[in-house]
Amino acid sequence: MYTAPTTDDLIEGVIIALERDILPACTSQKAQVGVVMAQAVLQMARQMIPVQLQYMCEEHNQMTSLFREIGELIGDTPGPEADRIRELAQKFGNRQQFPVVPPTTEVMESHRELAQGLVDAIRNLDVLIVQGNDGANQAILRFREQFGPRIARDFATMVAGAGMAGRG
Amino acid sequence: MHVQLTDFLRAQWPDAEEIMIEEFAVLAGGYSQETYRFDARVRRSGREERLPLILRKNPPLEADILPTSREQEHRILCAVKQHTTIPVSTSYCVAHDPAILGTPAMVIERVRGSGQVSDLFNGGPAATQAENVATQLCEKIAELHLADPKKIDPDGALADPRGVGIDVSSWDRYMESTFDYYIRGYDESDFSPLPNVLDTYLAIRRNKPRPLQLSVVHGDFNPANFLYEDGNLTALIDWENCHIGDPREDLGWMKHMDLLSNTNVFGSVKENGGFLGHYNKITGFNVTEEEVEYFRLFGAANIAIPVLGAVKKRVDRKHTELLHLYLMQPILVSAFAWAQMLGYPMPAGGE
Repeated sequence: MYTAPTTDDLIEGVIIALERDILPACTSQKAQVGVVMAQAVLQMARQMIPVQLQYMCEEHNQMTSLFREIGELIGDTPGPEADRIRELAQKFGNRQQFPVVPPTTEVMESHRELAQGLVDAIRNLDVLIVQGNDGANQAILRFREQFGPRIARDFATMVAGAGMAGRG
Repeated sequence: MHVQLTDFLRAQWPDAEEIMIEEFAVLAGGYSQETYRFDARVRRSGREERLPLILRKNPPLEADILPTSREQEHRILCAVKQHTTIPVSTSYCVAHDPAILGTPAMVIERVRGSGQVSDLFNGGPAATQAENVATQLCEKIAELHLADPKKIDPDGALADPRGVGIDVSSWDRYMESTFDYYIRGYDESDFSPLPNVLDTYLAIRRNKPRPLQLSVVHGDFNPANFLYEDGNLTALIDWENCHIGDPREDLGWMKHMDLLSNTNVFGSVKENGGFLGHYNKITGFNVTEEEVEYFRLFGAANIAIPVLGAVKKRVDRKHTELLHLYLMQPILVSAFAWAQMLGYPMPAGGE
Protein backbone atom coordinates (compact mmCIF):
# COMPACT_ATOMS: atom_id res chain seq x y z
CA MET A 1 0.00 0.00 0.00
CA TYR A 2 1.08 3.57 -0.63
CA THR A 3 0.83 6.19 2.08
CA ALA A 4 -0.02 8.79 -0.57
CA PRO A 5 -2.24 9.58 -2.31
CA THR A 6 -4.57 8.51 0.49
CA THR A 7 -8.11 7.25 -0.07
CA ASP A 8 -9.17 10.66 1.22
CA ASP A 9 -7.05 12.37 -1.48
CA LEU A 10 -8.66 10.19 -4.16
CA ILE A 11 -12.24 10.79 -3.07
CA GLU A 12 -11.68 14.49 -2.56
CA GLY A 13 -10.17 14.62 -6.08
CA VAL A 14 -13.37 13.13 -7.53
CA ILE A 15 -15.53 15.59 -5.56
CA ILE A 16 -13.51 18.51 -6.94
CA ALA A 17 -13.67 17.14 -10.50
CA LEU A 18 -17.44 16.69 -10.24
CA GLU A 19 -17.77 20.31 -9.17
CA ARG A 20 -15.34 21.84 -11.62
CA ASP A 21 -15.40 19.60 -14.71
CA ILE A 22 -18.67 17.64 -14.68
CA LEU A 23 -21.31 19.90 -13.13
CA PRO A 24 -20.86 22.77 -15.61
CA ALA A 25 -21.35 20.29 -18.47
CA CYS A 26 -24.60 18.87 -17.04
CA THR A 27 -27.44 20.36 -19.02
CA SER A 28 -30.40 18.66 -17.30
CA GLN A 29 -31.56 19.55 -13.83
CA LYS A 30 -31.76 15.85 -12.98
CA ALA A 31 -28.08 15.39 -13.84
CA GLN A 32 -27.12 18.44 -11.80
CA VAL A 33 -28.97 17.11 -8.77
CA GLY A 34 -27.37 13.71 -9.37
CA VAL A 35 -23.90 15.28 -9.26
CA VAL A 36 -24.65 17.10 -6.02
CA MET A 37 -26.00 13.88 -4.44
CA ALA A 38 -22.92 11.98 -5.65
CA GLN A 39 -20.70 14.58 -4.01
CA ALA A 40 -22.60 14.24 -0.73
CA VAL A 41 -22.30 10.44 -0.80
CA LEU A 42 -18.58 10.66 -1.56
CA GLN A 43 -18.10 13.14 1.27
CA MET A 44 -19.86 10.68 3.59
CA ALA A 45 -17.52 7.89 2.47
CA ARG A 46 -14.57 10.24 2.97
CA GLN A 47 -15.54 10.80 6.58
CA MET A 48 -16.30 7.12 7.26
CA ILE A 49 -13.20 5.50 5.82
CA PRO A 50 -10.53 6.68 8.28
CA VAL A 51 -12.56 5.68 11.34
CA GLN A 52 -14.82 2.85 10.18
CA LEU A 53 -12.62 -0.09 11.16
CA GLN A 54 -11.52 1.55 14.41
CA TYR A 55 -15.08 2.42 15.45
CA MET A 56 -16.45 -0.97 14.48
CA CYS A 57 -13.85 -2.80 16.55
CA GLU A 58 -14.50 -0.50 19.48
CA GLU A 59 -18.28 -0.89 19.17
CA HIS A 60 -17.94 -4.65 18.72
CA ASN A 61 -16.05 -4.91 21.99
CA GLN A 62 -18.52 -2.61 23.75
CA MET A 63 -21.42 -4.78 22.60
CA THR A 64 -19.87 -7.99 23.91
CA SER A 65 -19.48 -6.27 27.33
CA LEU A 66 -23.06 -5.06 27.12
CA PHE A 67 -24.31 -8.60 26.55
CA ARG A 68 -22.44 -9.77 29.63
CA GLU A 69 -23.89 -6.91 31.71
CA ILE A 70 -27.44 -7.58 30.50
CA GLY A 71 -27.03 -11.26 31.39
CA GLU A 72 -25.87 -10.36 34.89
CA LEU A 73 -28.72 -7.85 35.39
CA ILE A 74 -31.35 -10.41 34.39
CA GLY A 75 -29.72 -12.87 36.75
CA ASP A 76 -32.00 -15.81 37.69
CA THR A 77 -35.22 -14.21 36.50
CA PRO A 78 -37.53 -17.08 35.43
CA GLY A 79 -39.47 -17.28 32.16
CA PRO A 80 -38.88 -17.82 28.43
CA GLU A 81 -37.87 -14.18 27.72
CA ALA A 82 -35.25 -14.26 30.44
CA ASP A 83 -34.04 -17.61 29.09
CA ARG A 84 -33.59 -16.10 25.64
CA ILE A 85 -31.69 -13.11 27.07
CA ARG A 86 -29.37 -15.43 29.04
CA GLU A 87 -28.83 -17.43 25.86
CA LEU A 88 -27.91 -14.24 23.89
CA ALA A 89 -25.65 -13.04 26.72
CA GLN A 90 -23.92 -16.41 26.77
CA LYS A 91 -23.53 -16.52 22.99
CA PHE A 92 -22.33 -12.95 22.39
CA GLY A 93 -20.90 -11.95 25.74
CA ASN A 94 -18.22 -14.62 25.52
CA ARG A 95 -17.15 -13.68 22.03
CA GLN A 96 -13.48 -12.80 21.75
CA GLN A 97 -12.61 -9.09 21.76
CA PHE A 98 -10.93 -7.57 18.71
CA PRO A 99 -7.56 -5.92 19.24
CA VAL A 100 -7.62 -2.13 19.43
CA VAL A 101 -7.07 -0.64 15.97
CA PRO A 102 -4.72 2.34 16.06
CA PRO A 103 -5.77 5.59 14.33
CA THR A 104 -5.20 5.56 10.57
CA THR A 105 -2.89 8.59 10.74
CA GLU A 106 -0.66 6.81 13.27
CA VAL A 107 -0.38 3.67 11.11
CA MET A 108 0.28 5.75 7.97
CA GLU A 109 3.04 7.76 9.60
CA SER A 110 4.82 4.69 10.97
CA HIS A 111 4.39 2.84 7.63
CA ARG A 112 5.83 5.82 5.79
CA GLU A 113 8.87 5.97 8.07
CA LEU A 114 9.60 2.27 7.56
CA ALA A 115 9.20 2.49 3.78
CA GLN A 116 11.48 5.53 3.69
CA GLY A 117 13.98 3.56 5.75
CA LEU A 118 13.93 0.85 3.08
CA VAL A 119 14.61 3.49 0.40
CA ASP A 120 17.69 4.57 2.36
CA ALA A 121 18.77 0.94 2.85
CA ILE A 122 18.47 0.23 -0.88
CA ARG A 123 20.70 3.19 -1.75
CA ASN A 124 23.40 1.81 0.54
CA LEU A 125 22.92 -1.79 -0.56
CA ASP A 126 23.54 -0.65 -4.15
CA VAL A 127 26.97 0.69 -3.19
CA LEU A 128 27.83 -2.58 -1.42
CA ILE A 129 26.63 -4.69 -4.36
CA VAL A 130 28.85 -2.72 -6.74
CA GLN A 131 31.73 -3.44 -4.34
CA GLY A 132 30.93 -7.15 -4.67
CA ASN A 133 29.33 -7.71 -1.27
CA ASP A 134 27.35 -10.96 -1.45
CA GLY A 135 25.35 -10.20 1.68
CA ALA A 136 24.04 -7.04 0.04
CA ASN A 137 23.01 -9.06 -2.99
CA GLN A 138 21.14 -11.48 -0.73
CA ALA A 139 19.52 -8.57 1.09
CA ILE A 140 18.17 -7.11 -2.16
CA LEU A 141 16.75 -10.52 -3.07
CA ARG A 142 15.14 -10.76 0.38
CA PHE A 143 13.62 -7.30 -0.13
CA ARG A 144 12.23 -8.41 -3.51
CA GLU A 145 10.83 -11.60 -1.98
CA GLN A 146 8.79 -9.51 0.42
CA PHE A 147 7.82 -6.80 -2.05
CA GLY A 148 6.80 -9.07 -4.96
CA PRO A 149 3.64 -10.37 -3.26
CA ARG A 150 2.97 -6.90 -1.88
CA ILE A 151 3.09 -5.30 -5.33
CA ALA A 152 0.87 -8.07 -6.69
CA ARG A 153 -1.62 -7.46 -3.88
CA ASP A 154 -1.62 -3.69 -4.52
CA PHE A 155 -2.32 -4.40 -8.16
CA ALA A 156 -5.19 -6.76 -7.33
CA THR A 157 -6.61 -4.35 -4.76
CA MET A 158 -6.37 -1.04 -6.55
CA VAL A 159 -6.33 -1.45 -10.33
CA ALA A 160 -9.82 -0.90 -11.72
CA GLY A 161 -11.32 -3.96 -13.34
CA ALA A 162 -12.59 -1.97 -16.29
CA GLY A 163 -9.06 -1.14 -17.42
CA MET A 164 -7.49 2.17 -18.26
CA ALA A 165 -9.08 5.06 -20.08
CA GLY A 166 -7.28 6.51 -23.07
CA ARG A 167 -6.94 6.53 -26.81
CA GLY A 168 -7.83 3.48 -28.92
CA MET B 1 -10.86 30.11 -28.03
CA HIS B 2 -12.47 30.40 -31.52
CA VAL B 3 -11.67 34.11 -31.76
CA GLN B 4 -8.08 33.81 -30.52
CA LEU B 5 -7.43 30.81 -32.77
CA THR B 6 -8.86 32.57 -35.81
CA ASP B 7 -6.77 35.68 -35.09
CA PHE B 8 -3.68 33.53 -34.64
CA LEU B 9 -4.21 31.72 -37.96
CA ARG B 10 -4.87 35.04 -39.74
CA ALA B 11 -1.52 36.29 -38.48
CA GLN B 12 0.17 33.09 -39.69
CA TRP B 13 -1.53 33.08 -43.09
CA PRO B 14 -1.64 36.74 -44.11
CA ASP B 15 -2.47 35.75 -47.70
CA ALA B 16 -5.79 34.26 -46.57
CA GLU B 17 -8.76 36.49 -47.28
CA GLU B 18 -10.99 34.66 -44.86
CA ILE B 19 -10.54 32.00 -42.19
CA MET B 20 -13.44 30.25 -40.47
CA ILE B 21 -13.04 27.77 -37.59
CA GLU B 22 -15.62 24.98 -37.58
CA GLU B 23 -16.39 21.82 -35.58
CA PHE B 24 -13.99 22.72 -32.80
CA ALA B 25 -13.98 19.92 -30.20
CA VAL B 26 -11.74 18.56 -27.50
CA LEU B 27 -10.02 15.23 -28.27
CA ALA B 28 -10.04 12.69 -25.46
CA GLY B 29 -7.02 10.51 -24.79
CA GLY B 30 -3.38 11.32 -24.33
CA TYR B 31 -2.14 12.35 -20.92
CA SER B 32 0.15 15.23 -21.75
CA GLN B 33 -1.02 17.96 -24.14
CA GLU B 34 -4.49 19.48 -24.37
CA THR B 35 -5.61 18.45 -27.84
CA TYR B 36 -8.49 19.83 -29.91
CA ARG B 37 -9.72 19.01 -33.41
CA PHE B 38 -11.20 21.55 -35.80
CA ASP B 39 -11.60 22.39 -39.45
CA ALA B 40 -10.35 25.67 -40.88
CA ARG B 41 -12.15 26.97 -43.96
CA VAL B 42 -9.52 29.11 -45.65
CA ARG B 43 -10.20 31.36 -48.64
CA ARG B 44 -7.20 32.36 -50.73
CA SER B 45 -7.41 34.15 -54.10
CA GLY B 46 -11.11 33.44 -54.21
CA ARG B 47 -10.60 29.67 -53.72
CA GLU B 48 -11.74 28.00 -50.55
CA GLU B 49 -10.14 24.92 -48.99
CA ARG B 50 -11.06 23.04 -45.87
CA LEU B 51 -8.09 22.05 -43.68
CA PRO B 52 -8.56 19.32 -41.06
CA LEU B 53 -6.41 20.49 -38.14
CA ILE B 54 -5.39 19.78 -34.58
CA LEU B 55 -4.50 22.30 -31.91
CA ARG B 56 -1.99 20.98 -29.36
CA LYS B 57 -1.71 23.18 -26.32
CA ASN B 58 0.48 22.97 -23.26
CA PRO B 59 -1.53 22.43 -20.10
CA PRO B 60 -0.98 24.91 -17.25
CA LEU B 61 2.62 24.49 -16.07
CA GLU B 62 1.80 23.15 -12.59
CA ALA B 63 -0.45 20.43 -14.09
CA ASP B 64 1.88 19.56 -16.99
CA ILE B 65 2.78 15.85 -16.84
CA LEU B 66 5.52 15.94 -19.46
CA PRO B 67 6.66 19.54 -19.92
CA THR B 68 7.91 19.77 -23.50
CA SER B 69 8.34 22.50 -26.08
CA ARG B 70 5.79 22.96 -28.86
CA GLU B 71 8.46 24.82 -30.85
CA GLN B 72 10.71 21.77 -30.63
CA GLU B 73 7.90 19.39 -31.59
CA HIS B 74 7.17 21.62 -34.59
CA ARG B 75 10.82 21.48 -35.67
CA ILE B 76 10.96 17.67 -35.24
CA LEU B 77 7.83 17.16 -37.34
CA CYS B 78 9.19 19.40 -40.08
CA ALA B 79 12.59 17.65 -40.08
CA VAL B 80 11.12 14.12 -40.03
CA LYS B 81 8.80 15.03 -42.90
CA GLN B 82 11.67 16.53 -44.88
CA HIS B 83 14.34 13.89 -44.31
CA THR B 84 12.47 10.58 -43.96
CA THR B 85 9.49 8.74 -45.43
CA ILE B 86 7.91 8.35 -41.98
CA PRO B 87 4.30 9.54 -42.20
CA VAL B 88 3.79 12.48 -39.82
CA SER B 89 1.42 15.42 -39.60
CA THR B 90 2.38 18.63 -41.33
CA SER B 91 3.07 21.15 -38.59
CA TYR B 92 1.72 24.52 -39.69
CA CYS B 93 2.61 26.98 -36.96
CA VAL B 94 3.53 27.55 -33.32
CA ALA B 95 2.24 30.13 -30.85
CA HIS B 96 5.14 30.61 -28.44
CA ASP B 97 3.61 33.50 -26.57
CA PRO B 98 1.13 32.21 -23.96
CA ALA B 99 -0.79 35.47 -24.40
CA ILE B 100 -1.99 34.25 -27.81
CA LEU B 101 -3.83 31.03 -26.89
CA GLY B 102 -3.45 30.84 -23.11
CA THR B 103 -0.42 28.54 -23.15
CA PRO B 104 2.17 27.73 -25.87
CA ALA B 105 0.44 25.84 -28.68
CA MET B 106 0.88 24.46 -32.17
CA VAL B 107 -1.42 23.79 -35.11
CA ILE B 108 -0.84 20.59 -37.06
CA GLU B 109 -2.55 18.66 -39.81
CA ARG B 110 -5.22 16.19 -38.67
CA VAL B 111 -4.07 13.13 -40.59
CA ARG B 112 -6.69 10.71 -41.82
CA GLY B 113 -6.76 7.31 -40.18
CA SER B 114 -8.07 5.48 -37.18
CA GLY B 115 -6.52 5.58 -33.73
CA GLN B 116 -8.64 2.64 -32.59
CA VAL B 117 -5.64 0.36 -32.29
CA SER B 118 -7.51 -2.24 -30.27
CA ASP B 119 -9.57 -2.97 -33.45
CA LEU B 120 -6.42 -4.38 -35.05
CA PHE B 121 -5.89 -7.11 -32.49
CA ASN B 122 -7.59 -9.98 -30.65
CA GLY B 123 -9.99 -10.67 -33.52
CA GLY B 124 -11.07 -7.02 -33.75
CA PRO B 125 -12.85 -5.61 -36.82
CA ALA B 126 -9.57 -4.43 -38.40
CA ALA B 127 -7.57 -7.58 -37.58
CA THR B 128 -6.76 -8.28 -41.23
CA GLN B 129 -4.80 -4.99 -41.36
CA ALA B 130 -2.64 -5.75 -38.33
CA GLU B 131 0.28 -7.47 -40.06
CA ASN B 132 0.70 -4.76 -42.67
CA VAL B 133 0.37 -1.90 -40.22
CA ALA B 134 2.74 -3.47 -37.68
CA THR B 135 5.30 -4.26 -40.41
CA GLN B 136 5.19 -0.66 -41.60
CA LEU B 137 5.60 0.55 -38.01
CA CYS B 138 8.66 -1.65 -37.67
CA GLU B 139 10.12 -0.35 -40.94
CA LYS B 140 9.44 3.28 -40.10
CA ILE B 141 10.96 3.13 -36.63
CA ALA B 142 14.00 1.43 -38.17
CA GLU B 143 14.20 4.25 -40.70
CA LEU B 144 14.11 6.82 -37.89
CA HIS B 145 16.89 5.01 -36.04
CA LEU B 146 19.02 4.96 -39.18
CA ALA B 147 18.37 8.63 -39.99
CA ASP B 148 21.25 11.05 -39.63
CA PRO B 149 20.74 12.83 -36.29
CA LYS B 150 22.44 15.92 -37.72
CA LYS B 151 19.66 16.24 -40.29
CA ILE B 152 16.77 15.69 -37.88
CA ASP B 153 18.39 17.69 -35.12
CA PRO B 154 20.85 20.16 -36.70
CA ASP B 155 21.01 22.45 -33.66
CA GLY B 156 21.45 19.64 -31.10
CA ALA B 157 18.24 20.45 -29.23
CA LEU B 158 17.32 16.75 -28.96
CA ALA B 159 20.45 15.90 -26.96
CA ASP B 160 18.88 16.99 -23.69
CA PRO B 161 15.36 18.20 -24.42
CA ARG B 162 14.28 18.06 -20.76
CA GLY B 163 17.33 20.07 -19.74
CA VAL B 164 18.35 17.52 -17.12
CA GLY B 165 22.04 17.13 -17.89
CA ILE B 166 21.96 14.30 -20.44
CA ASP B 167 25.32 13.94 -22.21
CA VAL B 168 25.20 12.32 -25.66
CA SER B 169 28.94 12.57 -26.37
CA SER B 170 29.12 8.75 -26.21
CA TRP B 171 26.81 5.81 -25.48
CA ASP B 172 28.42 5.31 -22.07
CA ARG B 173 28.05 8.97 -21.13
CA TYR B 174 24.45 8.92 -22.36
CA MET B 175 23.59 5.94 -20.20
CA GLU B 176 25.43 7.21 -17.11
CA SER B 177 23.96 10.71 -17.32
CA THR B 178 20.50 9.19 -17.84
CA PHE B 179 20.91 6.96 -14.76
CA ASP B 180 21.99 10.04 -12.79
CA TYR B 181 18.81 11.76 -13.95
CA TYR B 182 16.65 8.78 -12.95
CA ILE B 183 18.19 8.45 -9.50
CA ARG B 184 18.13 12.20 -8.90
CA GLY B 185 14.58 12.25 -10.26
CA TYR B 186 13.48 9.69 -7.69
CA ASP B 187 13.76 12.31 -4.97
CA GLU B 188 11.54 14.69 -6.95
CA SER B 189 8.89 12.09 -7.62
CA ASP B 190 8.48 10.05 -4.41
CA PHE B 191 4.89 10.99 -3.63
CA SER B 192 5.11 8.04 -1.23
CA PRO B 193 8.32 6.12 -0.41
CA LEU B 194 8.81 3.81 -3.41
CA PRO B 195 11.69 1.44 -2.58
CA ASN B 196 10.84 -0.85 -5.51
CA VAL B 197 11.11 2.08 -7.94
CA LEU B 198 14.52 3.08 -6.61
CA ASP B 199 15.58 -0.59 -6.72
CA THR B 200 14.64 -0.63 -10.43
CA TYR B 201 16.67 2.48 -11.28
CA LEU B 202 19.72 1.18 -9.42
CA ALA B 203 19.39 -2.35 -10.86
CA ILE B 204 19.35 -1.12 -14.47
CA ARG B 205 22.42 1.02 -13.73
CA ARG B 206 24.25 -2.07 -12.43
CA ASN B 207 23.32 -4.21 -15.44
CA LYS B 208 24.00 -2.20 -18.57
CA PRO B 209 23.81 -4.01 -21.94
CA ARG B 210 26.35 -3.68 -24.78
CA PRO B 211 26.75 -0.25 -26.36
CA LEU B 212 24.95 0.66 -29.57
CA GLN B 213 25.09 3.78 -31.72
CA LEU B 214 22.94 6.63 -30.46
CA SER B 215 20.19 7.79 -32.80
CA VAL B 216 17.03 9.86 -32.93
CA VAL B 217 14.39 7.97 -30.94
CA HIS B 218 10.67 8.74 -31.00
CA GLY B 219 10.53 8.50 -27.22
CA ASP B 220 6.89 7.43 -26.95
CA PHE B 221 6.66 4.71 -29.59
CA ASN B 222 3.67 2.78 -28.31
CA PRO B 223 0.41 1.27 -29.59
CA ALA B 224 -1.54 4.49 -28.85
CA ASN B 225 0.70 6.69 -30.99
CA PHE B 226 -0.09 5.76 -34.56
CA LEU B 227 -2.97 6.01 -37.00
CA TYR B 228 -3.85 3.58 -39.77
CA GLU B 229 -6.24 3.19 -42.68
CA ASP B 230 -6.82 0.45 -45.25
CA GLY B 231 -3.92 -1.63 -43.99
CA ASN B 232 -1.47 1.25 -44.03
CA LEU B 233 0.20 3.32 -41.37
CA THR B 234 -1.01 6.88 -41.97
CA ALA B 235 0.84 8.67 -39.15
CA LEU B 236 3.25 8.23 -36.31
CA ILE B 237 2.08 10.79 -33.77
CA ASP B 238 3.04 12.46 -30.45
CA TRP B 239 6.69 13.32 -31.04
CA GLU B 240 7.02 15.47 -27.95
CA ASN B 241 9.40 13.09 -26.14
CA CYS B 242 11.68 12.64 -29.17
CA HIS B 243 15.35 12.73 -28.20
CA ILE B 244 18.80 11.41 -28.99
CA GLY B 245 19.10 8.05 -27.29
CA ASP B 246 19.58 4.33 -27.64
CA PRO B 247 17.34 3.00 -30.44
CA ARG B 248 16.44 0.00 -28.26
CA GLU B 249 14.46 2.41 -26.06
CA ASP B 250 11.71 2.61 -28.70
CA LEU B 251 11.61 -1.18 -29.08
CA GLY B 252 11.46 -1.72 -25.32
CA TRP B 253 8.73 0.84 -24.81
CA MET B 254 6.61 -0.58 -27.65
CA LYS B 255 7.02 -4.10 -26.26
CA HIS B 256 6.17 -2.87 -22.77
CA MET B 257 3.07 -0.94 -23.80
CA ASP B 258 2.03 -3.74 -26.18
CA LEU B 259 1.85 -6.04 -23.16
CA LEU B 260 0.14 -3.51 -20.89
CA SER B 261 -2.37 -2.47 -23.56
CA ASN B 262 -3.26 -6.01 -24.64
CA THR B 263 -2.27 -5.16 -28.22
CA ASN B 264 0.10 -7.17 -30.39
CA VAL B 265 2.23 -4.92 -32.57
CA PHE B 266 5.33 -6.99 -31.82
CA GLY B 267 3.66 -10.31 -32.56
CA SER B 268 1.95 -9.16 -35.75
CA VAL B 269 5.07 -8.79 -37.90
CA LYS B 270 5.81 -12.01 -39.80
CA GLU B 271 8.59 -10.94 -42.17
CA ASN B 272 12.12 -12.08 -41.27
CA GLY B 273 10.87 -14.02 -38.26
CA GLY B 274 8.99 -11.21 -36.57
CA PHE B 275 9.31 -7.62 -35.43
CA LEU B 276 12.81 -7.92 -34.03
CA GLY B 277 14.11 -10.03 -36.92
CA HIS B 278 12.69 -7.59 -39.47
CA TYR B 279 14.07 -4.61 -37.54
CA ASN B 280 17.50 -6.21 -37.29
CA LYS B 281 17.49 -7.08 -40.99
CA ILE B 282 16.87 -3.41 -41.84
CA THR B 283 19.20 -1.84 -39.28
CA GLY B 284 21.88 -4.48 -38.79
CA PHE B 285 21.76 -3.70 -35.06
CA ASN B 286 21.28 -7.37 -34.02
CA VAL B 287 19.15 -6.39 -31.04
CA THR B 288 18.39 -9.39 -28.81
CA GLU B 289 15.20 -10.20 -26.90
CA GLU B 290 17.17 -9.73 -23.66
CA GLU B 291 18.16 -6.22 -24.71
CA VAL B 292 14.55 -5.39 -25.53
CA GLU B 293 13.60 -6.60 -22.04
CA TYR B 294 16.30 -4.40 -20.50
CA PHE B 295 15.07 -1.38 -22.44
CA ARG B 296 11.48 -2.05 -21.38
CA LEU B 297 12.69 -1.02 -17.93
CA PHE B 298 15.00 1.73 -19.15
CA GLY B 299 12.31 3.31 -21.34
CA ALA B 300 9.62 2.91 -18.70
CA ALA B 301 11.86 4.73 -16.23
CA ASN B 302 12.22 7.58 -18.72
CA ILE B 303 8.43 8.04 -18.75
CA ALA B 304 8.06 7.25 -15.04
CA ILE B 305 10.18 10.17 -13.86
CA PRO B 306 7.83 12.91 -15.14
CA VAL B 307 4.68 10.85 -14.45
CA LEU B 308 5.61 10.11 -10.83
CA GLY B 309 6.69 13.73 -10.47
CA ALA B 310 3.28 14.85 -11.73
CA VAL B 311 1.53 12.69 -9.12
CA LYS B 312 3.78 14.17 -6.44
CA LYS B 313 2.76 17.70 -7.47
CA ARG B 314 -0.88 16.67 -7.13
CA VAL B 315 -0.34 14.97 -3.77
CA ASP B 316 1.50 18.12 -2.63
CA ARG B 317 -1.59 20.07 -3.80
CA LYS B 318 0.20 22.23 -6.32
CA HIS B 319 -3.07 21.87 -8.27
CA THR B 320 -6.28 19.83 -8.07
CA GLU B 321 -6.48 18.00 -11.44
CA LEU B 322 -8.12 14.57 -11.26
CA LEU B 323 -5.98 13.14 -14.06
CA HIS B 324 -2.92 13.10 -11.83
CA LEU B 325 -4.71 10.91 -9.30
CA TYR B 326 -5.97 8.67 -12.08
CA LEU B 327 -2.33 8.17 -13.08
CA MET B 328 -2.07 5.88 -10.06
CA GLN B 329 -3.76 3.23 -12.23
CA PRO B 330 -1.00 3.01 -14.88
CA ILE B 331 1.60 3.44 -12.14
CA LEU B 332 0.28 0.37 -10.31
CA VAL B 333 0.20 -1.61 -13.54
CA SER B 334 3.76 -0.55 -14.31
CA ALA B 335 4.97 -1.34 -10.78
CA PHE B 336 3.64 -4.87 -11.24
CA ALA B 337 5.28 -5.21 -14.66
CA TRP B 338 8.60 -3.80 -13.40
CA ALA B 339 8.63 -6.22 -10.49
CA GLN B 340 8.03 -9.13 -12.86
CA MET B 341 10.80 -7.96 -15.19
CA LEU B 342 13.30 -7.63 -12.33
CA GLY B 343 12.38 -11.12 -11.17
CA TYR B 344 10.62 -10.20 -7.94
CA PRO B 345 9.08 -13.45 -6.70
CA MET B 346 5.32 -13.28 -7.23
CA PRO B 347 2.60 -15.37 -5.63
CA ALA B 348 1.41 -18.28 -7.75
CA GLY B 349 -1.36 -17.12 -10.07
CA GLY B 350 0.25 -13.68 -10.57
CA GLU B 351 -2.22 -10.84 -10.38
